[in-house]
Amino acid sequence: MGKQLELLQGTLDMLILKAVSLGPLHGYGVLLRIQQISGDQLEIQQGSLYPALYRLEHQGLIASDWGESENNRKARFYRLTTAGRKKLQKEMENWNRMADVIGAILSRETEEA
Amino acid sequence: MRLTAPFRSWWKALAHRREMEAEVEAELQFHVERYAEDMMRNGMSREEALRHARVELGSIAVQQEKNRFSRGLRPWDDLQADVRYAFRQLRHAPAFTITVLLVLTLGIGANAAMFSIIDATLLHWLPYRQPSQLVSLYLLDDHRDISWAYYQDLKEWQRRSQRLQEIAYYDAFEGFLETKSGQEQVSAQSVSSNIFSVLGVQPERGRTFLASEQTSGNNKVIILSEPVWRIMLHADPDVVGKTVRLNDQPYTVVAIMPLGFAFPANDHDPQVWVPAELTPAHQKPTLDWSAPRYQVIGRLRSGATPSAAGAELSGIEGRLVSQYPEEMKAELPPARAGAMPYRETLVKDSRTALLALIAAVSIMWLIACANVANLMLARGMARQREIAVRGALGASRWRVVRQLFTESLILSALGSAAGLALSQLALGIFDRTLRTQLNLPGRLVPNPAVLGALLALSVVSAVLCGLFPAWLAARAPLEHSLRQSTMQAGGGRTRQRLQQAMVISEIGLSLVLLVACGLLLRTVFALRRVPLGFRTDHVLMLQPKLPRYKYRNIDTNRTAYQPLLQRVQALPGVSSATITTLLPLRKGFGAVLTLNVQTDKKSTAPPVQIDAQLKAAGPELQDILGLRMVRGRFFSQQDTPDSQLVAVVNRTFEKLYMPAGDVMNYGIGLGKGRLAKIVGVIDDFHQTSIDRPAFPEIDFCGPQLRATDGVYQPTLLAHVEIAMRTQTGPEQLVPALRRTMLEVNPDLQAGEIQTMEQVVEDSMGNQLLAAHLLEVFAGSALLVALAGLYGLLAYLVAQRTREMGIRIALGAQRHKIIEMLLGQAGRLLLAGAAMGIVLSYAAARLIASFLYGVKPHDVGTMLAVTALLLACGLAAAYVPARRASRVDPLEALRTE
Repeated sequence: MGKQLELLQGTLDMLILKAVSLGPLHGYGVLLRIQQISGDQLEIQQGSLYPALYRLEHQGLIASDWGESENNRKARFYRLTTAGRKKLQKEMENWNRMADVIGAILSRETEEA
Repeated sequence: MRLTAPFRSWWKALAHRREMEAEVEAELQFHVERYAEDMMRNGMSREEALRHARVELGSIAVQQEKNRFSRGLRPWDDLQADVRYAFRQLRHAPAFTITVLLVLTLGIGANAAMFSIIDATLLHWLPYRQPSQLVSLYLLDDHRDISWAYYQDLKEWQRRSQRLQEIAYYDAFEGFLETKSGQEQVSAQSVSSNIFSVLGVQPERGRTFLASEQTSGNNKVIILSEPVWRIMLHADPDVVGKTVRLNDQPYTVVAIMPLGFAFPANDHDPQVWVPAELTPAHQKPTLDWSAPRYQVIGRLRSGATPSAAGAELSGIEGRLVSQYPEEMKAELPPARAGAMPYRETLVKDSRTALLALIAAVSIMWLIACANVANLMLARGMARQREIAVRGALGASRWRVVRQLFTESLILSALGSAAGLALSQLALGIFDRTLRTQLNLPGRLVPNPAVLGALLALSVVSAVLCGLFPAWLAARAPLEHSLRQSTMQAGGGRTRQRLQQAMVISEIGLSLVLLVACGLLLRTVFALRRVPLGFRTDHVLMLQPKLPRYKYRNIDTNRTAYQPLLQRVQALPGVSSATITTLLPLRKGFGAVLTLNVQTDKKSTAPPVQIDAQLKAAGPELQDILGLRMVRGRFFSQQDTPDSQLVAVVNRTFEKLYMPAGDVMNYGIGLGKGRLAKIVGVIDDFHQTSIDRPAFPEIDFCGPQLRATDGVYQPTLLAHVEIAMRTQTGPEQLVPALRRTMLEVNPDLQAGEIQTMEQVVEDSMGNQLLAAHLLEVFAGSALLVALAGLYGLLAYLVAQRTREMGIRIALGAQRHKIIEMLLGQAGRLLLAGAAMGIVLSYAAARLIASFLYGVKPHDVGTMLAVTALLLACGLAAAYVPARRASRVDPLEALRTE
């Protein structure tokens, strides 16, 4: 396992939305899913996960239901709402544009136009 | 969906807090266990794994807090915590809490009561469109007194005025409406057909008057007010178009006005309106004193001011005056029309009183706020350590200020609630006086405007008395106060200066109220000592009222009042009774005769002009009112209709007549060769009000007058009262009198009965009311200021216990310590008194118009009041000073 990347400011919400967009997850599941997709390259502060979940739920972007976990225990599962899906879509577009612009600036090698 | 999500989440967090916390805990527990299981799979022991998982997640309590924070509940939670903490703090300092609450209750309560009164009078809601454009228009006579306008004048105003959009006129008359339960009295107005358009109000149902309905024959139409329609006509839905009978004449109902509409606005009786009929007298080209006159109301064009309109009408009036007959012109000063905002005419008598009282309650409120701020400051100082500890534990300065501010907000909210109750109580107590003096519509209840003002007042109070001390308390450097013990924390110089400044202003402001109160009390005292010139004990007056329409062409004196008088004279307990047309201090009807008395037949000097009040009364009046004769005699039983006509004049008349010779040689012609010989001069008494001098007067002997005499109409026919002297307490006779009135003539039942003492009391009403209210305000203000002084000194003494202990230990005399502390208090008191004297010098002008027999800058009152304040202040200071001198040095030093 190489050195893990610190999460960029403000991106946790987007990652959570993406994680639950693939199917309902409990809090710990969200954590695992993000780490798994990132190939264990991202380090997520566990203490900031739940406040982010509650914030998203408060904003109506995700909704939660109590259900059974893999090992038959009661757990709260989060799923994406319609509003959340729209939000994710917009965030992804923004992110991609931003990444393109920043990538273009950083990849510029010569001085001339 | 998106909008409702936050509300649902808030609702859950607030209403089901426990449930939500349990869920969070369960969720986190699940997380910890799953994580631990994963770590155990990598070979960690269970305990190790659980510990590790918990550390990584953070404590559950913190997570719970973060949860609420995520949902935007932090401000709410903080507020709750602040409120809970504030209540705990207040409970732990009951003396402080109770003092502050009492002071705020007094300050806010007085303001709430006053604001209710202001709201019902000065800010009176008028049921018209843009009421600020409405102005009353009137004539000014040569005494600058207001009188109604002649029809010819107002027609000219209507034609020529540029500053007024429209002018309407009205006149009240006595109306009796026939209903199922008989004749009911209504307040009837005959109005010009455009009055509703001037007021800008449309009827609820029906139409307003047409211009053609002011001509004879078409004028039998009527508009009803909502109360008349609802109560007297039982809300008959089809009343428009029907006929009702007013004063025994049929009128067709053309409209019902909306609920809440009243005109005139200060008339609280059920109202009806009919068109003012234009008679031949209206069209006469020449003007004389008996020409029809009206009250006039106009609507200003936008941008025009009442004074500009008044000036314009005076210009028009000036041109008209030249058309007046000679004898009327003499009365007319150059500018003789005026305009006043309609709203002001409703309260013009009480306006100054109200403004003075507003000033009084505002001052009292300022005193209360200064006092509470002072207490808060002192308390802030005592709590400095606690605040420092909170700061050291990480509370931001803003947070501490907010906490302290919450406390003052709670205090002022509680104070407002109590103040509201107090104001209701006070309004209840003064209910009768307020209603007679200010013409208020029944009981005042707090309306949204009053409650809003109260709320604003309590917030401002909290800011004034809480925010600054809180800010000061939070500003103090942390380490400093942490290192020192509470007793030593001397507090900054700034703070002490501030506290002293506030005590000084409190004392100064109280002095203002005390001076105002002193001046009014002296006024009341002076008024009571004015020799009235007549007796008030055992005198009862009966003012009979007959429905005028029934008795229009009937000599009421002969047919109704004389028989009533005979019955009254025969009543057991009545020693004498008479009919009189004028009674002292009654704002009743007064006929004024202008006499031109030739001084000397040979001289060319202009004749002396005397305006004299006319009165007709029986010989018994002298006994009833105890009138004193200067010369000659009063009427007697020998003055019968067949004997020589006699009259008496008063001393003021005699003085004015002096240039023409002896008044006893004068005779007054009544027309048709009848000449009344003057047989006596009575001593002056106050006819209209106690604070006005006597007016020239001519009295005729009532029983001698004939219906054909010129003076019969303006006296005995116009207004009559029955005055009687009673053997027992006058009140005991009232039921018997009521019975008699009913037996003589059922129409007489509406008569008013009053004792002379009540009449005198009512005539002093304005001054009495102001004096009573000011007594209350000044008394409370003094108490509050003294409490402030006492509190500050007691606090300073407590702060200096150690210092006192050392002084005493070093051999200071105890009386020296008392002297030193009293000296300090004395300096504060003197500074406050100096400030107060300067302020009251300015404030006394405000009440100057209420004063009688005392100058606004009366040195005696000022000195007496200042002395009282200083004495009370030193007494309040003595208690803590004495306590300081009793300090046991050992005890004081050991407390450290």
